[in-house]
Amino acid sequence: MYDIIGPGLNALMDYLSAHVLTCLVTAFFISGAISALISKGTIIKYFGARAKKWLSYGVASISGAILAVCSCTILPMFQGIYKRGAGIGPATTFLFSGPAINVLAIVLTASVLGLDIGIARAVSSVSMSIIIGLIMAVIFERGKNEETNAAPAVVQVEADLGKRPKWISSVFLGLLVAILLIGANGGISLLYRLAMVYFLTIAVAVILIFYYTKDEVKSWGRETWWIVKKIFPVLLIGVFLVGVIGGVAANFTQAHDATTAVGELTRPYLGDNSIFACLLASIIGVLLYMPTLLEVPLIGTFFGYSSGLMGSGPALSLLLAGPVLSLPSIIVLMRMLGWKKAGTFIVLVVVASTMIGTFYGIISP
Amino acid sequence: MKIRVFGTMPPCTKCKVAEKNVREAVKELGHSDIEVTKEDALSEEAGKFGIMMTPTVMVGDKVIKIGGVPSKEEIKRAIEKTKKEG
Repeated sequence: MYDIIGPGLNALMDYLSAHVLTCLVTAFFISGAISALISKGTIIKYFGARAKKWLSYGVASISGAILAVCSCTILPMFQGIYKRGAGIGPATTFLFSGPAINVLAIVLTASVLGLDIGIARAVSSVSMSIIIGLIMAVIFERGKNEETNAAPAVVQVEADLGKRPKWISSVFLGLLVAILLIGANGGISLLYRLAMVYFLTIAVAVILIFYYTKDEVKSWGRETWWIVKKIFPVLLIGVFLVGVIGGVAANFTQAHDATTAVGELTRPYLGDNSIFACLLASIIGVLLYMPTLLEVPLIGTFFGYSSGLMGSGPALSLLLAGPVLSLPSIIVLMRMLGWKKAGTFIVLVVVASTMIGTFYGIISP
Repeated sequence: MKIRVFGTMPPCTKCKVAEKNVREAVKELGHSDIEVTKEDALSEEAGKFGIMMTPTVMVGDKVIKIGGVPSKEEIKRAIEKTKKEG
């Protein structure tokens, strides 16, 4: 009888280290704040049909951090930008970078897989997203009639915006991010970290008391809890399943080690930084459905990046291609765009992820 | 007065909660002349207003919430404000 539950639980325990949890908790609160307290209307203006093109691309490549806190918004937002906004270019830019640039994804990637690959993920998805968007626009919009599908340029401003100076919101978010960075920083001793986080938290509380209404604080709490409910259980189940599969796979490897078994088995294909490994990883990423955040344990534990069994190149390729597409979303895209545009996008994703992965494999230590 | 809740079809969780809050807020205020509609964010109608995120709630001709769920208090305040402005 395979020992199944044991490895599953072990994987879960290993994952929920204090380090990961403190990072995640703060990141959930930041996501909640972004979702509940930041006005989206001002950003959406840049996706209008009449917005300056270069602004649309720039905003599209990073606005995922603010607009795509809930991954369910990404496809509808994509369709909105494509059909009645700035067009297929900025829309695909948003689609590619959205899943990679949200706070939770970056935080979990950096804290579990390492700061270097976390930064690489964020930076490369932002830059590649612009290039992919431009390529799509060049291929499919040359000579396009500017008048078709243009919506009124301005969405009416939300009626009830908080009455506080703009810089307060930035300071507020900045403090939350500082708490995250300091709390996670292994370089400072625990005592100093606790002290600094303590004072930062007081600063946050002061800002809340003086500049935010009770309603807003409540809605921040609600949003945060909603995000936690949506994402955390799935992450736990995913990690558990990864452990279980590892336990089963351990029966087929020499070392019989559940935590590295699958990685050992995939090592011949994904273990080095060759173009082939990166290409394989990109294709797996494009087809495999990955719930939010699950790409991290998939790469770290399942394919064994954290144990050195997966090359950093294919790891980055999978990080880039995985969350963007999956078989179900490909079907949706085909229906929305037709097979030519959807197919081109998929090819671009695979090519871009492979290239970036290979490049990263060369330059990473 | 018309209150529109724009969402995905079929509605995502947030869209359903937004619609529920709107209907309850309207019921609690007791105004009889308010029509609440649930519309597809990707329809022609939504296109006229430039709807991009779901859910988006419009009270009259003002967008009161983009990409989030408005609380019943927010909705009631928006209704009262729109009534006052005639």
